[in-house]
Amino acid sequence: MAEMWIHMGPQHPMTHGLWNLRIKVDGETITDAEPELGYLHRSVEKIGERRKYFMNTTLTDRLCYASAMTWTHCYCLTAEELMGVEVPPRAKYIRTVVLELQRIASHLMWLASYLPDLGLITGFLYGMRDREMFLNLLEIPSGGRLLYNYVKIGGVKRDLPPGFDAKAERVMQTLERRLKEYEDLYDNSKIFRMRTDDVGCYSASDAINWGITGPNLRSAGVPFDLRQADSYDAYPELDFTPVTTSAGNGRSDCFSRYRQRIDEMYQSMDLVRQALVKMPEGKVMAGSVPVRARGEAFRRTEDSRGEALMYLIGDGTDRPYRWKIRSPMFTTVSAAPHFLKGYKVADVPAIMGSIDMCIGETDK
Amino acid sequence: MPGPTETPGLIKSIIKPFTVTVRQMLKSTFGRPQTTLYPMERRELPPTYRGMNAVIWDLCIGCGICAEVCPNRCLKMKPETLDDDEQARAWYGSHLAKRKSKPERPAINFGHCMFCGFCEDYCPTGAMTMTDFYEMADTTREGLIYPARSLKVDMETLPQLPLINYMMESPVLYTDTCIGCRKCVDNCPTNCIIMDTGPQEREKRDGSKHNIPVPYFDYTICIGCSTCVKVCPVDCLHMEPISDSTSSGLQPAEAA
Repeated sequence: MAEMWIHMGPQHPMTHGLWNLRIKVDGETITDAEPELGYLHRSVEKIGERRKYFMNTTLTDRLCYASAMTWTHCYCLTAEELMGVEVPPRAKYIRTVVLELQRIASHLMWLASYLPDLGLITGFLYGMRDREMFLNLLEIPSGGRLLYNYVKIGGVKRDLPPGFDAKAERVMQTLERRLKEYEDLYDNSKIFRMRTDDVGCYSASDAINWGITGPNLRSAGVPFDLRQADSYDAYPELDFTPVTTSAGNGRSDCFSRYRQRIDEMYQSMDLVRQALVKMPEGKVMAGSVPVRARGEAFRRTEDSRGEALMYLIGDGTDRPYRWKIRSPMFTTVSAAPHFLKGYKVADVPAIMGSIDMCIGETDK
Repeated sequence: MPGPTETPGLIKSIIKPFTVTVRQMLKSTFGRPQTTLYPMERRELPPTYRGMNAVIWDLCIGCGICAEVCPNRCLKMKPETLDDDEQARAWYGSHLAKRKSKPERPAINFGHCMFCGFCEDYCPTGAMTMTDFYEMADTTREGLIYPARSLKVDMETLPQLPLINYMMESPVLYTDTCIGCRKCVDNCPTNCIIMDTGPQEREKRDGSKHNIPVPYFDYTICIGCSTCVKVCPVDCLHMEPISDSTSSGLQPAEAA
């Protein structure tokens, strides 16, 4: 049969954002694919060069609408390294708490968007309902539900109010109860397993070669987590090991990527509990934060989707001379042709949904 | 390709998911609903909520830091005429009365505002606040431009907040080029500058020598707004990070 190219996107329920996946099909089988990005390019790096260092946290919030806190935190870590600012210990612990809460909210958002792709509309309602609890939690210290602007260069904006840990504990207990329901609902659901088992496979070595990071890499059984490998904030003082799942033989398939994110939610809740218990008293903002900076710095953090890296060059003025953002999803989606080949057209939503696309950070 | 690793049985694959669905159905039918009927009932907002701005005019000193830190440039300082009562209540009222230029107050175009809260965070006197009012929808774009006076709020008792330099910078002078024009003194919103004897002398036509006065800064109440740097006609002032030499007391300006 003659091969032909089909456009999935830019307007397609599968895309979760504005991008285009061109696939070459032979009948129903995919023989080649080519992601086309750039529809959502907002030139964040260039705009950031015209703004003062501290103003850029509003831009980094908007890099990923599902995980605003982690991106702002990555920027602030980089700027702190550039300026040589020491963050107070309490601020480090607060950052750890809000980052992990954000990670849970982001994974729930992924769950809510992935399951409708597979025809389980219930999953959307359940996922969004549970994410709401975490947004309410993050709203308490930051004042925002989606764009927090909470992490700042030198610390965090304000202290956690009294009673926050009790509220967080209540929310986490509810989520733990509900995650068990999800496991009953999806893990053993025949329809869900048929759509995800052994679909979109890649091996651990391939994932490393393609630069896939984060949950997508750990789902192939590679215990690599930047929270430990290149530790920051309060993570060195917390007790945890990277969770990994595998579809057997060091491979990752859609189901193992689903399991990985569910397991990471359990781990994040454990980390939040540890950090809330160990949290010291003290200031939440460094005493003196310089406005101008000279030199260069880069930091990488474990974003909800993988390895986020930011690189800043300062030329002695109050604005960055160059600002580079390394997005984890850009490399992952670039590898899409490799793990789409050989599967059917109907598998594309299952595969592309399972890697947790976020176009905001990919196109920047 | 190999098949599924394990095949769930009938109970696991059909009965268990079905019980979860039925339980949820009963819960959502007879339990508390997840949604609220918006105009009649509203969610409880946290005290940190970032809604429409309000400016406590009695505390505002018109320094323009809010306009400086606004990432979207939606906040502009507009000259306003204060009436006698406002003049009397203003924190720096006596100082403002002496100034030649009109005092300025922030006006906001909420059509461009993203409610990041920087104006509130960096306000040195705590005059800029964010309320929990969020129903600002309007039929025209012009309706979203709020003039300075419409953002004014009054407080019964004024908190005496210290002036805090959030900008982390203070002005430093090149005495060589200073001409002693006093523009910085006239425009300083916190009145932290005085003019006094400087190192340079000016020779008049008749041969007599006059000392050129230079500004001295009280860095304890300097808020780092850089107004003096902007108005300086000969660019003899520049901002430098707060260091040990500039962090305390009235300092004679040094030739840098």
